[in-house]
Formats: sequence, structure tokens, C-alpha cells
Amino acid sequence: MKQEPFIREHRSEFRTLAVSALAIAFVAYALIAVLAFSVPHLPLANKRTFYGLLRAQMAVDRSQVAGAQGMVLFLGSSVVERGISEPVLDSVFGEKKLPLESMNAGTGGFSAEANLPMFRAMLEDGLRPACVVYGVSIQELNGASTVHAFFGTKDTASVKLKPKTLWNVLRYGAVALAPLLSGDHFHQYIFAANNAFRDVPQLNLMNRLMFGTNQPPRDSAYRFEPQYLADLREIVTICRERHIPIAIYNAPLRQRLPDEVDIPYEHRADSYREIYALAQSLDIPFWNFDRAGLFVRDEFQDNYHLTPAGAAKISAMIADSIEEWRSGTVVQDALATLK
Amino acid sequence: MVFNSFAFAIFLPLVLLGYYLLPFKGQNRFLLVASLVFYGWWDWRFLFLLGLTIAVDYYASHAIARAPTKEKKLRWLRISLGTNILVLSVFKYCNFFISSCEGLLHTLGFQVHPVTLQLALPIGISFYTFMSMSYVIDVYWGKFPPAENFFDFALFVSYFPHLVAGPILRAGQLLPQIERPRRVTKEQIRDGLTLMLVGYARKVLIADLLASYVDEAFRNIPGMSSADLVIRLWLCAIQIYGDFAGYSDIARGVSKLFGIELHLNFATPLLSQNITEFWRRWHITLSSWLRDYVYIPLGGSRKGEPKTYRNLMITMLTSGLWHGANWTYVAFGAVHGLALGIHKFWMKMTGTSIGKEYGTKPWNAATPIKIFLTFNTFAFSLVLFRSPNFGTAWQYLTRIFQFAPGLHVGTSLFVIPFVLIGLSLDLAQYTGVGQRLIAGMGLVTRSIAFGVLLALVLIAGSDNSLPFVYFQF
Repeated sequence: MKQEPFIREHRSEFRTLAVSALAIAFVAYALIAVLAFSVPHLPLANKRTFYGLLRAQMAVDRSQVAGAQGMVLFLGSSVVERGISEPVLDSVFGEKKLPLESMNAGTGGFSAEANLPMFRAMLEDGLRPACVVYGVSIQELNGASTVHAFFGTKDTASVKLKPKTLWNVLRYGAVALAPLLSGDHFHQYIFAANNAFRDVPQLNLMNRLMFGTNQPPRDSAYRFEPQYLADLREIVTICRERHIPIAIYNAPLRQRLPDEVDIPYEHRADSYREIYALAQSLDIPFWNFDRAGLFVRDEFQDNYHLTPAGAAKISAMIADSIEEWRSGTVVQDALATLK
Repeated sequence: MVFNSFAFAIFLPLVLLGYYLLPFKGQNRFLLVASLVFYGWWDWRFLFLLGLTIAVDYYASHAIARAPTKEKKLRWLRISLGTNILVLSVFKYCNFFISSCEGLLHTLGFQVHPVTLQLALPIGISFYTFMSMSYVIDVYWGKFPPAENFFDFALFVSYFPHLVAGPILRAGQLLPQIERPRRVTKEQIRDGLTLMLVGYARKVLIADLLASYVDEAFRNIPGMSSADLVIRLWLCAIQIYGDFAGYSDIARGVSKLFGIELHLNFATPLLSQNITEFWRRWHITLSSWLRDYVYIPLGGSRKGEPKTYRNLMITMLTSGLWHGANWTYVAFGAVHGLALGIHKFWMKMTGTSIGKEYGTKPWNAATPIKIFLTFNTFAFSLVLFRSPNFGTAWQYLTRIFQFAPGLHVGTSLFVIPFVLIGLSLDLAQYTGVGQRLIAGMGLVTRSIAFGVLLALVLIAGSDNSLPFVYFQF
């Protein structure tokens, strides 16, 4: 006797399977889409590119809601992320009647090597800053530093901001939301979404639990890495090509105590010299805020991150420097100004 | 091919479609081909070993059935078991034995330079050799006749849902389902999809998320406080449970879609009240295999007290060794052999006994404490399971008992929601509430509930999902 195909005998069960699977899949993808669209500034990135593209996405999103003001885009590592106060800058810009608005895209751990693809991603997504201010610190060119973060992919061409269309969200939404289920990345998101502590003068216990910490490990090794300098030069070149003025500033260090060997204090001048030479060769402003007497110890959170009070202070100074720069003066603070 | 891979997401629907389109006669052949493709996806060379086990055991089982005398039956049994144990010894334990002998000879003052084999460990070898051996032993014991059809037997051994990480099935459970025409019911489809989803949730939403915290603890023991190390051990227990139970759930769920029932492998073991109950709930198919083919043949509890404890220890040492070719696994088995012996002694002294099946006692005020103690017994034994060597295990334990201060509160708090999800799944299974809830759900409610769970699984599993832990066994 010829046997019936299984499917004919089990039509009803097969239909149940197909309908159930489709309904469940529909609900799942609808939820993913809703979450991907509703989480503020969520980039369509993966875990490797998450933090960098998050900061890039925030800059792009902010530029889209900004008025007719030109954007001053700040790039750099955590010394920028935690050391530049947008409210203070914008307030000073307002007082000085400068048509500018600030955007802090500093990203913890990112030197020029990581900032370069991130900056490209922002520009490809249509960001047009009025000018760029790049903040450097003692670790910027340090090839032996353990605090440098990387995108974790050699293919930096893949570091791109994807537009949030429905198709992209369905395709990349799950991957984009995945970092939020990881403790480290979730803390990065909360950190960025809450302006990296710089507007929270005193963290309470709940803040500390939510935000985590951004304490760099103790590390005094130093090795000049020419590639990092080349990447910084590339950022300047990109700005030049697009007629975007760019300036560099040197962030302050906390006054060293004899028992503190947690950053390469002995190499401050080495790092400064290289960047000063770069600024001179490209004729761009280079402002040094690592000067004796400019900042007191209490204005530092740790050896090179400022407290909110310190961030407000340096932001006001930078606003003054930007005003002077816009008047046509190119200031390049020599090595002798280093404390 | 792994369950949490894109290849499997393509493979399974195609196999289901082919299966449903074929009549019964063609289904078994089709499933056999699909199973060989599934296994060969890892490395096609592994198929030869699998084929060797199938061929030898099929032929041996028929030879045993035909043999006129007990001696001849025993001879064929020895040939079958010898082949399987030889395969295991060469591919899994050879280098372990060589390095252990080298260590012993070094200790005795001899300088040797042994040669080790550079062999890849065939995936699932511990599982399918145990299954096939149990079949031959059961035929020898006269429990049932040998499988008539070679291809049906081949499917029994190589059936892909359980091939690489169990459950370890008995021929009496699976062969009849293979040899008879099957019917897939709506309930099986519903339960199958549910199990698959719960399995994936356990794997990617719980096990994989906890993995990084556990890895960090073992990588940086001196940098962790004692409290952190204890918490990470608890997370390790939940991680390994989620990983392994998740795989078993997926295997059972997939199999239900073919109308084939696989045995339950984990019955909420982390909610056990004592270590004996734990081993009746944890990796049930392995425990029962060891009970039936090691513990009972050794005499079980029928040859006096000292031999009972001896048999218990030998059984658990075998369990430890089955898990891996390392003395730490043997020590893991020894710890549990000791714990089981102590519990047995305790029951004797207090005049209590453990009931049938899981032996679960009714809940009372002391139950949470018993569960906590049993959970910690298992969790602390995992220091041996997880450590690559005794040095690391010793370092971990001594660091705990140094009472080093501190706690990564933020990290510890972050994992709580996922631990609670795992606990909810277990409680739903333990109490039977889950089953009743799902049975009562309509299409819309079920779609929403499962859709949310699927979304979480897709998100958690989308980026660098980790391999199943038990694949290494």
C-alpha cells in the first residue's frame, strides 16, 4: 500500500507549526525594532564598535537637533569625555555672543587610532562641525599604555554609522542591542548617557552602582608610538580637506606626589614635544593647560581626569581660547609652558 | 554544526520540511543522512569513527543474539566493549595516560621523554560510545533483541539532536520510536518549540552572559575578593547548568518536532535538598547509565556497607573521568563520591531514607537551608571542574578562605536579573506551573510570551555566542 507523505497526514500539525513560528518571530522582531528605535542614541553597532559608535551617534543626533549654531566638536579620550563641560562652554559662548554650540564626543580609552574611524563615521553620516578641538594627554602617543581602547577590528572601514531604517533595524537591531546585555557595555552606555559624571558633582551610592567607575590602572610605562602621531596627523588632514578648522589642547595632570608612579610623568615633555612639532608643521593652534598653578589637586578626580568643577574651569578657558582663535590668532604654547 | 549557529537555523527547517514530505519508510533514511551531515559538519573524518562504532556494535549485537553459549556471547560483548573503550582511550585519554605516567616516573626519579598523539577529540565521542555500549550490554543481558535493520540502528546511534551532547539514551527508549511509524501531535509541536526556546534562553541569556564573570574570576584570582570568588562560583554553577540543561532542552525540543521523545536530562537539580537528590536530577541519563552499568554490576548496595561505599566512589570516579582527561575531573568525581557516601551514612544514622524517583522531601522551613547547602556543595566542587590544574584550584580555594575584603557590587547587581530569569524557569518546571500555563495559552498569548523570550534570545545570542561547554566531553 502506498504510504501517504507525512505532511498530508499531518496537515493540521504542520499548519500549527508554521503559524506558531511565524507569529512568535513577528512578535520578536517587532519588539527588537521598537527597542532599537526607542533606546536613545543606540548605534547599529556590535560589541566591538559599540562605545565608539555610541559617541559618534550621540554627536550626529545632537547635530540634527541643533539650531543654526555651528558645532564645536570635541574629540579625544576620557580626559575630554570627562573634562569638557558642554553647559559651561555653551554658556560662555552665549555670553561672548559666539554662534557656537559644543558637542563632547570624547571617548574613554580612545586615542587618535580609534578616534580616526569614529570621526570618519560621523562625517560620512553628514556631520559638519564648525570646528574640531582635539584634546590630548600624556597617554596619547604612549604605545605602552594599557588604557588605550581599540575597536577590536582591523577593518576600520567597517566602522560606520548605519542609518536607522526599518530594514537596517530588522537586520542589525539584535546585534545592536546585544551590548546592553553585557555589564561592561551597559555601564559604558549609562556613563555616556549621563555625560560621564562631569555634570554630577557628588556621586551617591546609586550613581556609583549604576555608572561604574572609570579608574585607569596604575601604569607608568612609556613608549612613543609613531602610528598614533600619524593617526592624529590624519585627523588634521581630514579636517583640512573639508575646510574644518582644528585645534589641539593639552589636558592638565594632577601634581605628582613622590609615591605616585601610576602614569609616565617623566615622559610628559616627550609627548608634548611631538605634538607641538605636529601643530607647528601644520600651523594649527596648540593650547597647553598643563601649567603650574592653573589647577589645584582638588580639581582632579584622579591623576589626569578632572572633577566637574575642574571640567567647568577648563571649559571656560577653552571657550576663551576658541574666541581668540576665531579672531584669527593662532596660539601655539611652547614646551616651556609645561609645568 | 552547533544548535546556536546560523548553519543550524538553515539546516533544521530544511530537515523538517524533508521529513514531513516523506512517508515513514523514507523518514528514517532521511534522518540518518541529515544526522551524518550534522556530525560531519564538524569534521568529516569523525564520521569514520562513528561508523566504526555503529558497524562493530551492530554486528556484535547480532553475534551475541546468535551465539549458542554464554562464553561466546561474552566474547562478542568483550569485542564490542573493547573496541569502544579503545576508541575512547586513544582519542580522549591517551595523552592523559602518557602524561600521568610521565609525571609518576619523574617523581620516582626517571627521566623520560614520551611522545604524545596529536589527535583532535571527536565531538560527542563520550556520548555516543556510552549509548552504543549500553545497547550491546542490554542485548547481552537479554533485555531486548538486537535491532533488525542496520540503518535504523545507525540512526539510533547517530540521531543528531542528541548525538554530540546527550541525553544518553538507551536502546529501549529510542529504538522502538525509530522502528515504528511516528505521529507528531500539536502538543508535541507546542512543547517542542517551547523547549527549544527555553533551551536557547538558558544558553544565551543565562550561561553565555555569566561566562565572562566566571572566566574573569579564574583568570585573576589574586585580584578578586573572597566574596567575589564565592559569588562567581555560584555563577559558575548556574552557567554550567544553563549551558548543559539548555542543550538538553534544545535537543528534546528538536526531537519532539520529529515525533521522537528524548528522556528528560535535568530536573531542576539546583533546587535539590541533598546531594543524593542532586545526582538524581543532574544529568539524569549519565547518572542512570553509571548506576545500571557500573554501580549495580559492581554489586550496588547488596554486598554490605563497605562495598556499597566503595562502589559509590568507583562510580563517581568514573563519572569524573568521563567528563574529561584530567586529574581535576577525577577529583571532582571523588568529591561527589565522598559527599554521596557521607549523605548515605547520615541517612543511616538518622534512620531516614530517600524515596523513589528524585527522592524529594516535602518542603518545610528547613528546605531553603538544605537547598542552599546542597547548591554550595556543588558550586564549590566546580573549582575542580573548572580549574585547569590543582594549583589553580588550590589558589582559588585558599583565596576564598583568606577572607580578602571587597566586592564588585556593580557587576554582582547586573547579573541578578538574568539569574532571576533562570530561577523562574526552574521554579516553573519544578512546580509544573510552566507546563500548565503553556497548555492553557492561546495562540496570541503564546506568541507574545514566546516572542518576548525569542527577542531576548536573539539579542543575547547575536554577538559572539559561546560554544556549549559539554562539547568538550
